Amino acid sequence: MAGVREQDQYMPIANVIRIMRRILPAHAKISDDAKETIQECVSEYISFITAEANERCQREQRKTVTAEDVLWAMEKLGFDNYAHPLSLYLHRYRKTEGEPASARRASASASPSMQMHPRTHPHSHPPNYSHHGFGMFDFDPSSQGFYRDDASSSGSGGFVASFDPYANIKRDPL
Amino acid sequence: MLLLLLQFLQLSFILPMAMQTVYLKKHEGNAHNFVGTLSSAASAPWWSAFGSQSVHQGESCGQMKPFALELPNCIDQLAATKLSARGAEQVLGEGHTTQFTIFPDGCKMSDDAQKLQTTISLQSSLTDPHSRFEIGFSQPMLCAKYPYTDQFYGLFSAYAPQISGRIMLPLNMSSDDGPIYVNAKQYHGIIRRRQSRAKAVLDHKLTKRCKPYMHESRHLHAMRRPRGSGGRFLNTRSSINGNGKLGNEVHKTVGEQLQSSDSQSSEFLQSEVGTLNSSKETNGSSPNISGSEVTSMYSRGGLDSFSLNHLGSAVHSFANMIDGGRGMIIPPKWVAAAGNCYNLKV
Repeated sequence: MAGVREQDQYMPIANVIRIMRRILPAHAKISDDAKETIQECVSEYISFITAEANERCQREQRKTVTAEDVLWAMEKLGFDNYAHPLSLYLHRYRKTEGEPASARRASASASPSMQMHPRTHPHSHPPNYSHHGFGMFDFDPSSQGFYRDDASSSGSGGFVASFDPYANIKRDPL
Repeated sequence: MLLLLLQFLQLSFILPMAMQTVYLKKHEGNAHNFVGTLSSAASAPWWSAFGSQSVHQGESCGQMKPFALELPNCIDQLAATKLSARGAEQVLGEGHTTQFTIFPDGCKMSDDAQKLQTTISLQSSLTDPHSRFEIGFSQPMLCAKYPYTDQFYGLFSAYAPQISGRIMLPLNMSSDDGPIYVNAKQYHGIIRRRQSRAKAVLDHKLTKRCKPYMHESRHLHAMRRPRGSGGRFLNTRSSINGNGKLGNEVHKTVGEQLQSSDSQSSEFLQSEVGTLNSSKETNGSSPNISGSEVTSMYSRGGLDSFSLNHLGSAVHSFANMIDGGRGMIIPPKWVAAAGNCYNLKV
């Protein structure tokens, strides 16, 4: 892209903090260093995997980065332990929530507190984030079990899981 | 329509590759010998050694003839693996189970789009046994450099379970702490990410100098607002209370002030420059405020706070892939600090 804005480099720190707080007890506190470290780690992880997926799309002369591309990139980069639960999650998600994209958007608009800041990735063209992508993460019990392992990996897995369902919606116009 | 045709063409190649996979299993000894050669070689001869044995995928048609001779010996294996493949049809397994799951799909030749997508997702894993199968015959042929790299990574992931631990690579780029060893699978990606970050830093410097604010309209509105002594805005609710309060009351005061004014970004930046303590309190109260615009503002505020508070602090313990690019992280902080200096004039 021509100009990369500052707020596009990192994930919104409020959302990162919210995800960190989900597995901590109510009285726990998070230092500013920890917040910023996780923010940078999560942002770099997303860019790392998306760049690999985008490279495959460019090789095959495609413009849309799909969920399969993301899973393929994770396996190629050695994140096999992440790719396997995510493929199960994606399969189950498509079985239950596959076709009605507009209905999901209508139902998701009823909860504005779940909104995430829409943003565009600087080096490739993945689908934009939206509120229902984040909400879908709560539906899958295996992701919840996967979520309990530790803070940083669950944070990364959470964002990647929220990334996949929207790619399915993106494929409808094709 | 064209995409469906492309997927169908890819599906037609699945059956021969699966049969080659069965043939590959009998030559496990050759593969193991290659692993020994691979582990003993150094970095530079390692690439050349693999290059001499690379074979183009077009040779797969010719390889069918040796398989025909071995057909009677493989019938038992086909019967045994076909039974286990049906059990794993819905689950994406690992290792040989993944390889043999494709075989029944090839026989069925179904037109279901869902199964086609599943088959396409397994296409990359099928490439690994194909590369391994080619190496067993060790035919010297050259091919394009880029597909060769892709085959190599696929090949290496296939060998990973047989080697104790991962093979690490020394980075070619110069780093302050000396050579850093990373996962061989991620080496190429890390180099690409470093170049992307360097390019982003250059773009960031250009855009940062032009615009010290996020939104043009808010900037114009803030410039038109009347200011009092010290540069503070007039006509705000918290101007009477002042800055003497501490603790939770400061939480509510700052939150209320942010919600009431239209130029939230400029107000927040100015108050942050005035008192660092107020900035920390604001970061603490972030879960209470919702909305994408406020979230975006807090993201920027967090970065500025980090720059002001930790310019002289020690280097943080980042993850492995960020640790490799630690030299790249410092310039954005300095640029952010320069941005703060510029904001003081506003």
